[in-house]
Amino acid sequence: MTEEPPAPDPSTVRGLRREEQEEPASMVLSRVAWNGPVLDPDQLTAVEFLGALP
Amino acid sequence: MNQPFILPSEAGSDRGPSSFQALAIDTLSEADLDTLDVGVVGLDEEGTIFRYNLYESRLARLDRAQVIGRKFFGEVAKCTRGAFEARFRALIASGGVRAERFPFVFDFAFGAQEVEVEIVRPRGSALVYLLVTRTRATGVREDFPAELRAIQQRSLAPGETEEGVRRDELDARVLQVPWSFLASLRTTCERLAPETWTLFCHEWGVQWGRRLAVDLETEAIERHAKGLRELPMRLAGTMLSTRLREQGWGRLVLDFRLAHEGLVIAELARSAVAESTRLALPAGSQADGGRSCHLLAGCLGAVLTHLGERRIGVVELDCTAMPQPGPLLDARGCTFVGFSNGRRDRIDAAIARGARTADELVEQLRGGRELG
Repeated sequence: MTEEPPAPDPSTVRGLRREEQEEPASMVLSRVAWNGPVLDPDQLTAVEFLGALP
Repeated sequence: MNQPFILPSEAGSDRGPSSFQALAIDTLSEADLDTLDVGVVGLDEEGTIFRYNLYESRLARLDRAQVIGRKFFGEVAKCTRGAFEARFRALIASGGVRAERFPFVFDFAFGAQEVEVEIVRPRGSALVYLLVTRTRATGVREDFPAELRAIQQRSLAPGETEEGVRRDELDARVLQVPWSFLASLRTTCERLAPETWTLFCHEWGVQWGRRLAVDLETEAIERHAKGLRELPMRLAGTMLSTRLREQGWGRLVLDFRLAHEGLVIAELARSAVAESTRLALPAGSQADGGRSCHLLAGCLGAVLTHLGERRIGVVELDCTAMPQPGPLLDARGCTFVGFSNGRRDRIDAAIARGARTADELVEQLRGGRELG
Protein backbone atom coordinates (compact mmCIF):
# COMPACT_ATOMS: atom_id res chain seq x y z
CA MET A 1 0.00 0.00 0.00
CA THR A 2 1.37 3.33 -1.01
CA GLU A 3 0.97 6.25 1.32
CA GLU A 4 -0.26 9.57 0.02
CA PRO A 5 2.33 12.31 0.48
CA PRO A 6 1.33 14.67 3.27
CA ALA A 7 -0.63 17.72 2.19
CA PRO A 8 1.57 20.82 2.13
CA ASP A 9 1.05 23.37 4.83
CA PRO A 10 -0.43 26.36 2.94
CA SER A 11 1.49 28.77 5.12
CA THR A 12 4.74 27.12 4.05
CA VAL A 13 4.27 27.72 0.36
CA ARG A 14 2.52 31.06 0.62
CA GLY A 15 4.52 33.84 -0.92
CA LEU A 16 6.61 31.74 -3.21
CA ARG A 17 7.03 33.00 -6.72
CA ARG A 18 4.12 32.24 -8.96
CA GLU A 19 5.96 29.78 -11.17
CA GLU A 20 6.99 27.86 -8.10
CA GLN A 21 3.43 27.74 -6.82
CA GLU A 22 2.42 25.94 -10.00
CA GLU A 23 4.86 23.12 -9.30
CA PRO A 24 3.82 20.06 -7.35
CA ALA A 25 3.83 20.96 -3.70
CA SER A 26 6.36 18.27 -2.82
CA MET A 27 8.85 19.70 -5.34
CA VAL A 28 8.25 23.23 -4.06
CA LEU A 29 8.88 22.16 -0.50
CA SER A 30 12.06 20.36 -1.43
CA ARG A 31 13.34 23.46 -3.22
CA VAL A 32 12.50 25.57 -0.20
CA ALA A 33 14.49 23.20 1.93
CA TRP A 34 17.42 23.29 -0.51
CA ASN A 35 17.58 27.00 -1.37
CA GLY A 36 15.94 28.60 1.62
CA PRO A 37 12.62 30.42 1.44
CA VAL A 38 12.06 32.99 -1.28
CA LEU A 39 11.40 36.29 0.45
CA ASP A 40 9.19 38.19 -1.92
CA PRO A 41 8.01 41.53 -0.45
CA ASP A 42 5.12 41.65 -2.91
CA GLN A 43 3.83 38.20 -2.03
CA LEU A 44 4.53 37.91 1.67
CA THR A 45 2.71 39.97 4.24
CA ALA A 46 4.83 42.23 6.42
CA VAL A 47 4.62 39.87 9.37
CA GLU A 48 5.49 36.86 7.20
CA PHE A 49 8.37 38.62 5.47
CA LEU A 50 10.03 40.01 8.58
CA GLY A 51 9.26 36.86 10.49
CA ALA A 52 11.17 34.85 7.88
CA LEU A 53 14.31 37.01 7.92
CA PRO A 54 17.18 34.66 8.71
CA MET B 1 -8.34 42.38 10.69
CA ASN B 2 -6.10 43.61 13.42
CA GLN B 3 -4.94 41.24 16.05
CA PRO B 4 -6.42 42.56 19.26
CA PHE B 5 -4.93 42.87 22.66
CA ILE B 6 -1.24 43.09 21.93
CA LEU B 7 0.98 43.99 24.83
CA PRO B 8 3.33 46.84 24.01
CA SER B 9 7.04 46.33 24.17
CA GLU B 10 8.69 46.73 27.49
CA ALA B 11 9.79 50.31 28.12
CA GLY B 12 13.39 50.80 27.15
CA SER B 13 13.65 47.70 25.02
CA ASP B 14 12.68 46.92 21.47
CA ARG B 15 11.58 43.35 21.86
CA GLY B 16 8.57 42.20 19.92
CA PRO B 17 5.10 42.28 21.35
CA SER B 18 3.34 39.38 23.02
CA SER B 19 -0.22 38.59 23.96
CA PHE B 20 -1.84 39.81 27.10
CA GLN B 21 -5.13 39.39 28.84
CA ALA B 22 -7.77 42.05 28.32
CA LEU B 23 -8.46 42.07 32.03
CA ALA B 24 -4.90 43.34 32.61
CA ILE B 25 -5.73 46.54 30.76
CA ASP B 26 -5.97 48.48 34.02
CA THR B 27 -2.28 47.85 34.74
CA LEU B 28 -1.05 49.43 31.51
CA SER B 29 0.31 52.95 31.50
CA GLU B 30 -0.91 55.61 29.10
CA ALA B 31 2.26 55.09 27.05
CA ASP B 32 1.54 51.34 26.92
CA LEU B 33 -2.02 51.95 25.77
CA ASP B 34 -0.73 54.16 22.98
CA THR B 35 1.21 51.29 21.42
CA LEU B 36 -1.83 49.00 21.15
CA ASP B 37 -3.47 48.57 17.78
CA VAL B 38 -6.87 48.26 19.37
CA GLY B 39 -8.98 51.18 20.52
CA VAL B 40 -9.20 51.58 24.29
CA VAL B 41 -11.68 53.85 26.06
CA GLY B 42 -11.79 53.84 29.87
CA LEU B 43 -15.07 55.07 31.38
CA ASP B 44 -16.33 55.52 34.90
CA GLU B 45 -19.77 54.20 35.77
CA GLU B 46 -21.35 57.42 34.55
CA GLY B 47 -19.78 57.01 31.15
CA THR B 48 -17.25 59.83 31.60
CA ILE B 49 -14.08 59.29 29.59
CA PHE B 50 -10.94 58.91 31.72
CA ARG B 51 -8.62 57.04 29.35
CA TYR B 52 -8.52 57.22 25.56
CA ASN B 53 -5.64 55.72 23.63
CA LEU B 54 -3.87 56.82 20.47
CA TYR B 55 -5.44 54.19 18.21
CA GLU B 56 -8.95 55.23 19.20
CA SER B 57 -8.02 58.89 18.93
CA ARG B 58 -6.74 58.51 15.37
CA LEU B 59 -9.61 56.42 14.08
CA ALA B 60 -12.21 58.67 15.66
CA ARG B 61 -10.16 61.70 14.55
CA LEU B 62 -10.57 63.24 17.98
CA ASP B 63 -7.95 64.88 20.16
CA ARG B 64 -7.60 63.38 23.60
CA ALA B 65 -7.05 66.78 25.11
CA GLN B 66 -10.66 67.60 24.30
CA VAL B 67 -12.18 64.15 24.81
CA ILE B 68 -11.06 63.32 28.33
CA GLY B 69 -13.71 64.31 30.84
CA ARG B 70 -16.61 64.24 28.40
CA LYS B 71 -19.54 61.80 28.39
CA PHE B 72 -18.92 58.99 25.92
CA PHE B 73 -22.48 57.93 25.19
CA GLY B 74 -24.25 61.25 25.46
CA GLU B 75 -21.70 63.59 23.98
CA VAL B 76 -18.76 62.06 22.08
CA ALA B 77 -20.31 58.97 20.48
CA LYS B 78 -24.04 59.42 20.37
CA CYS B 79 -24.25 56.58 17.87
CA THR B 80 -23.57 54.23 20.80
CA ARG B 81 -26.80 55.07 22.57
CA GLY B 82 -29.21 52.19 22.72
CA ALA B 83 -28.02 48.60 22.65
CA PHE B 84 -24.30 49.47 23.04
CA GLU B 85 -24.90 51.62 26.11
CA ALA B 86 -27.32 49.02 27.48
CA ARG B 87 -24.54 46.40 27.44
CA PHE B 88 -22.29 48.80 29.34
CA ARG B 89 -24.96 49.44 31.98
CA ALA B 90 -25.78 45.75 32.24
CA LEU B 91 -22.17 44.82 32.97
CA ILE B 92 -22.00 47.39 35.75
CA ALA B 93 -25.32 46.26 37.22
CA SER B 94 -24.29 42.60 37.16
CA GLY B 95 -20.93 43.20 38.82
CA GLY B 96 -19.33 41.13 36.08
CA VAL B 97 -15.89 41.56 34.60
CA ARG B 98 -16.55 40.87 30.96
CA ALA B 99 -19.42 41.22 28.50
CA GLU B 100 -19.77 39.15 25.38
CA ARG B 101 -17.94 40.57 22.38
CA PHE B 102 -20.33 42.11 19.86
CA PRO B 103 -20.23 43.74 16.41
CA PHE B 104 -21.08 47.40 16.03
CA VAL B 105 -20.92 50.21 13.47
CA PHE B 106 -19.57 53.59 14.50
CA ASP B 107 -21.04 56.41 12.47
CA PHE B 108 -18.83 59.43 11.97
CA ALA B 109 -19.34 62.47 9.79
CA PHE B 110 -16.41 61.26 7.65
CA GLY B 111 -17.61 57.65 7.31
CA ALA B 112 -18.70 54.55 9.15
CA GLN B 113 -16.44 51.96 10.81
CA GLU B 114 -17.35 48.35 11.39
CA VAL B 115 -15.93 47.19 14.70
CA GLU B 116 -16.06 44.50 17.31
CA VAL B 117 -16.41 45.63 20.89
CA GLU B 118 -15.50 43.96 24.12
CA ILE B 119 -16.47 45.55 27.43
CA VAL B 120 -14.35 44.59 30.43
CA ARG B 121 -14.10 45.70 34.00
CA PRO B 122 -11.00 44.36 35.76
CA ARG B 123 -11.75 43.35 39.33
CA GLY B 124 -11.36 46.28 41.70
CA SER B 125 -11.11 48.80 38.87
CA ALA B 126 -12.99 52.06 39.01
CA LEU B 127 -13.11 52.06 35.22
CA VAL B 128 -14.98 50.06 32.65
CA TYR B 129 -13.04 49.58 29.39
CA LEU B 130 -14.30 49.48 25.85
CA LEU B 131 -11.87 47.51 23.67
CA VAL B 132 -12.65 48.31 20.06
CA THR B 133 -11.22 46.29 17.20
CA ARG B 134 -11.73 47.86 13.78
CA THR B 135 -12.56 45.50 10.96
CA ARG B 136 -13.50 47.80 8.08
CA ALA B 137 -14.01 51.44 7.22
CA THR B 138 -16.83 52.30 4.86
CA GLY B 139 -18.40 55.44 3.46
CA VAL B 140 -20.89 57.64 5.24
CA ARG B 141 -24.18 55.88 5.91
CA GLU B 142 -26.56 58.43 4.45
CA ASP B 143 -29.58 56.87 6.10
CA PHE B 144 -28.09 57.28 9.59
CA PRO B 145 -29.45 60.35 11.43
CA ALA B 146 -26.84 63.10 11.26
CA GLU B 147 -27.60 64.27 14.80
CA LEU B 148 -26.61 60.84 16.18
CA ARG B 149 -23.23 60.67 14.48
CA ALA B 150 -20.10 60.81 16.63
CA ILE B 151 -18.83 64.28 17.38
CA GLN B 152 -16.19 65.94 15.19
CA GLN B 153 -13.01 67.59 16.35
CA ARG B 154 -14.09 70.99 15.06
CA SER B 155 -17.13 70.81 17.35
CA LEU B 156 -15.03 69.83 20.35
CA ALA B 157 -12.72 72.81 20.04
CA PRO B 158 -14.16 75.47 17.77
CA GLY B 159 -11.89 78.35 16.84
CA GLU B 160 -8.70 76.57 17.88
CA THR B 161 -6.83 77.72 14.79
CA GLU B 162 -6.75 81.18 16.27
CA GLU B 163 -5.32 79.64 19.43
CA GLY B 164 -2.29 78.36 17.55
CA VAL B 165 -3.49 74.80 16.97
CA ARG B 166 -2.66 73.18 13.61
CA ARG B 167 -4.14 69.94 12.36
CA ASP B 168 -3.54 67.70 9.36
CA GLU B 169 -6.25 66.53 7.01
CA LEU B 170 -7.17 63.74 9.46
CA ASP B 171 -7.50 66.19 12.35
CA ALA B 172 -4.30 65.07 14.09
CA ARG B 173 -2.56 67.94 15.81
CA VAL B 174 0.76 68.69 14.12
CA LEU B 175 3.63 71.11 14.55
CA GLN B 176 5.57 72.87 11.87
CA VAL B 177 9.10 72.76 13.24
CA PRO B 178 12.07 74.52 11.64
CA TRP B 179 15.27 72.51 11.19
CA SER B 180 16.96 74.69 13.81
CA PHE B 181 14.79 72.87 16.36
CA LEU B 182 16.62 69.61 15.56
CA ALA B 183 19.98 71.37 15.42
CA SER B 184 19.30 72.77 18.87
CA LEU B 185 18.53 69.30 20.17
CA ARG B 186 21.82 67.94 18.85
CA THR B 187 23.74 70.84 20.37
CA THR B 188 22.02 70.26 23.69
CA CYS B 189 22.85 66.55 23.59
CA GLU B 190 26.47 67.26 22.79
CA ARG B 191 26.73 69.63 25.74
CA LEU B 192 24.82 67.68 28.37
CA ALA B 193 25.31 64.05 27.34
CA PRO B 194 28.28 63.74 25.00
CA GLU B 195 28.71 60.05 25.78
CA THR B 196 25.11 58.93 25.78
CA TRP B 197 23.25 61.17 23.36
CA THR B 198 23.11 58.45 20.71
CA LEU B 199 21.27 56.14 23.11
CA PHE B 200 18.93 58.96 24.05
CA CYS B 201 18.11 59.73 20.42
CA HIS B 202 17.72 56.05 19.52
CA GLU B 203 15.31 55.43 22.38
CA TRP B 204 13.38 58.58 21.50
CA GLY B 205 13.09 57.16 17.99
CA VAL B 206 11.89 53.81 19.33
CA GLN B 207 9.14 55.47 21.33
CA TRP B 208 8.15 57.58 18.34
CA GLY B 209 8.22 54.58 16.02
CA ARG B 210 5.84 52.60 18.23
CA ARG B 211 3.31 55.39 18.01
CA LEU B 212 3.94 55.90 14.30
CA ALA B 213 3.20 52.21 13.75
CA VAL B 214 -0.17 52.62 15.46
CA ASP B 215 -0.86 55.65 13.31
CA LEU B 216 -0.08 53.58 10.21
CA GLU B 217 -2.33 50.79 11.50
CA THR B 218 -5.26 53.18 11.47
CA GLU B 219 -4.41 54.22 7.92
CA ALA B 220 -4.19 50.56 6.87
CA ILE B 221 -7.64 49.84 8.26
CA GLU B 222 -9.14 52.89 6.62
CA ARG B 223 -7.55 52.33 3.22
CA HIS B 224 -7.15 48.57 2.95
CA ALA B 225 -9.51 47.11 5.57
CA LYS B 226 -6.56 45.17 6.94
CA GLY B 227 -4.06 45.54 9.71
CA LEU B 228 -0.66 46.86 8.68
CA ARG B 229 1.04 43.51 9.31
CA GLU B 230 -1.34 41.78 6.94
CA LEU B 231 -0.43 43.99 3.99
CA PRO B 232 2.30 42.92 1.57
CA MET B 233 5.71 43.93 2.93
CA ARG B 234 6.40 46.36 0.11
CA LEU B 235 3.06 48.11 0.53
CA ALA B 236 3.53 48.47 4.29
CA GLY B 237 6.99 49.88 3.63
CA THR B 238 5.61 52.31 1.08
CA MET B 239 3.08 53.56 3.62
CA LEU B 240 5.91 54.21 6.05
CA SER B 241 8.01 55.96 3.41
CA THR B 242 5.10 58.10 2.28
CA ARG B 243 4.31 59.18 5.82
CA LEU B 244 7.92 60.17 6.54
CA ARG B 245 8.22 62.03 3.25
CA GLU B 246 4.98 63.92 3.85
CA GLN B 247 6.24 64.96 7.26
CA GLY B 248 9.46 66.25 5.77
CA TRP B 249 11.98 63.74 7.15
CA GLY B 250 13.38 62.93 3.70
CA ARG B 251 12.76 60.25 1.07
CA LEU B 252 13.00 56.74 2.45
CA VAL B 253 13.48 53.81 0.06
CA LEU B 254 13.38 50.29 1.48
CA ASP B 255 15.45 47.72 -0.41
CA PHE B 256 14.53 44.10 0.22
CA ARG B 257 16.99 42.48 -2.19
CA LEU B 258 19.28 41.33 0.61
CA ALA B 259 16.50 39.77 2.65
CA HIS B 260 17.91 36.31 1.96
CA GLU B 261 21.04 37.53 3.77
CA GLY B 262 18.84 38.62 6.66
CA LEU B 263 19.20 42.31 5.85
CA VAL B 264 16.74 45.06 4.93
CA ILE B 265 18.46 48.14 3.58
CA ALA B 266 16.88 51.58 3.95
CA GLU B 267 18.18 54.66 2.17
CA LEU B 268 17.01 58.03 3.46
CA ALA B 269 17.77 60.79 1.00
CA ARG B 270 17.92 64.38 2.20
CA SER B 271 17.54 63.39 5.83
CA ALA B 272 16.23 66.33 7.84
CA VAL B 273 17.93 65.00 10.94
CA ALA B 274 21.31 64.54 9.31
CA GLU B 275 21.33 67.81 7.44
CA SER B 276 20.27 69.86 10.44
CA THR B 277 22.17 68.14 13.22
CA ARG B 278 25.49 67.71 11.46
CA LEU B 279 25.59 71.43 10.82
CA ALA B 280 25.38 71.80 14.57
CA LEU B 281 28.63 69.90 15.05
CA PRO B 282 32.02 71.52 15.25
CA ALA B 283 33.64 71.84 11.82
CA GLY B 284 35.15 68.58 10.64
CA SER B 285 33.65 66.57 13.48
CA GLN B 286 33.35 62.86 12.74
CA ALA B 287 31.77 61.98 16.06
CA ASP B 288 30.31 58.47 15.93
CA GLY B 289 31.71 57.96 12.44
CA GLY B 290 29.63 60.84 11.12
CA ARG B 291 26.39 59.02 11.79
CA SER B 292 23.65 61.29 13.10
CA CYS B 293 20.30 59.65 12.44
CA HIS B 294 19.94 57.55 15.58
CA LEU B 295 16.48 59.01 15.99
CA LEU B 296 15.39 57.63 12.62
CA ALA B 297 17.18 54.33 13.24
CA GLY B 298 15.22 53.84 16.44
CA CYS B 299 11.99 54.79 14.71
CA LEU B 300 12.53 52.40 11.78
CA GLY B 301 13.47 49.60 14.16
CA ALA B 302 10.30 50.09 16.19
CA VAL B 303 8.07 50.11 13.11
CA LEU B 304 9.71 46.98 11.66
CA THR B 305 9.50 45.30 15.07
CA HIS B 306 5.80 46.09 15.14
CA LEU B 307 5.34 44.73 11.63
CA GLY B 308 7.32 41.56 12.18
CA GLU B 309 6.13 40.83 15.72
CA ARG B 310 9.78 40.12 16.49
CA ARG B 311 12.70 42.30 17.41
CA ILE B 312 14.17 43.96 14.35
CA GLY B 313 17.22 46.09 15.01
CA VAL B 314 18.09 49.03 12.78
CA VAL B 315 21.39 50.91 12.77
CA GLU B 316 22.77 53.62 10.57
CA LEU B 317 25.51 52.29 8.32
CA ASP B 318 26.67 55.52 6.80
CA CYS B 319 25.77 59.16 6.39
CA THR B 320 26.68 61.26 3.39
CA ALA B 321 24.21 64.01 4.17
CA MET B 322 26.97 66.56 4.67
CA PRO B 323 29.99 65.53 2.62
CA GLN B 324 33.28 67.30 2.75
CA PRO B 325 33.43 70.57 0.80
CA GLY B 326 33.75 69.93 -2.91
CA PRO B 327 31.54 69.14 -5.88
CA LEU B 328 27.96 68.31 -4.96
CA LEU B 329 27.18 64.63 -4.98
CA ASP B 330 24.11 63.30 -6.69
CA ALA B 331 22.85 61.30 -3.76
CA ARG B 332 23.10 62.57 -0.23
CA GLY B 333 21.53 60.71 2.58
CA CYS B 334 21.81 58.01 5.15
CA THR B 335 21.96 54.26 4.81
CA PHE B 336 20.33 52.09 7.44
CA VAL B 337 20.31 48.35 7.84
CA GLY B 338 17.60 46.30 9.52
CA PHE B 339 18.23 42.78 10.84
CA SER B 340 16.86 40.27 13.28
CA ASN B 341 18.05 41.40 16.66
CA GLY B 342 19.87 38.16 17.34
CA ARG B 343 22.50 39.25 14.80
CA ARG B 344 23.14 42.61 16.44
CA ASP B 345 26.59 41.71 17.76
CA ARG B 346 27.78 40.57 14.35
CA ILE B 347 26.35 43.66 12.64
CA ASP B 348 27.94 45.97 15.21
CA ALA B 349 31.25 44.17 14.80
CA ALA B 350 31.12 44.50 11.01
CA ILE B 351 30.43 48.23 11.27
CA ALA B 352 33.22 48.60 13.78
CA ARG B 353 35.53 46.93 11.26
CA GLY B 354 34.60 49.60 8.73
CA ALA B 355 31.58 48.28 6.80
CA ARG B 356 29.80 51.35 5.42
CA THR B 357 27.80 49.90 2.54
CA ALA B 358 25.43 46.99 2.21
CA ASP B 359 27.95 45.12 0.06
CA GLU B 360 30.72 45.62 2.59
CA LEU B 361 28.40 44.48 5.34
CA VAL B 362 27.43 41.31 3.48
CA GLU B 363 31.08 40.60 2.74
CA GLN B 364 32.00 40.97 6.39
CA LEU B 365 29.08 38.81 7.52
CA ARG B 366 29.90 36.11 4.98
CA GLY B 367 33.51 36.21 6.03
CA GLY B 368 32.48 35.77 9.62
CA ARG B 369 30.29 32.82 8.66
CA GLU B 370 33.10 31.14 6.80
CA LEU B 371 35.42 31.71 9.71
CA GLY B 372 32.80 30.81 12.24
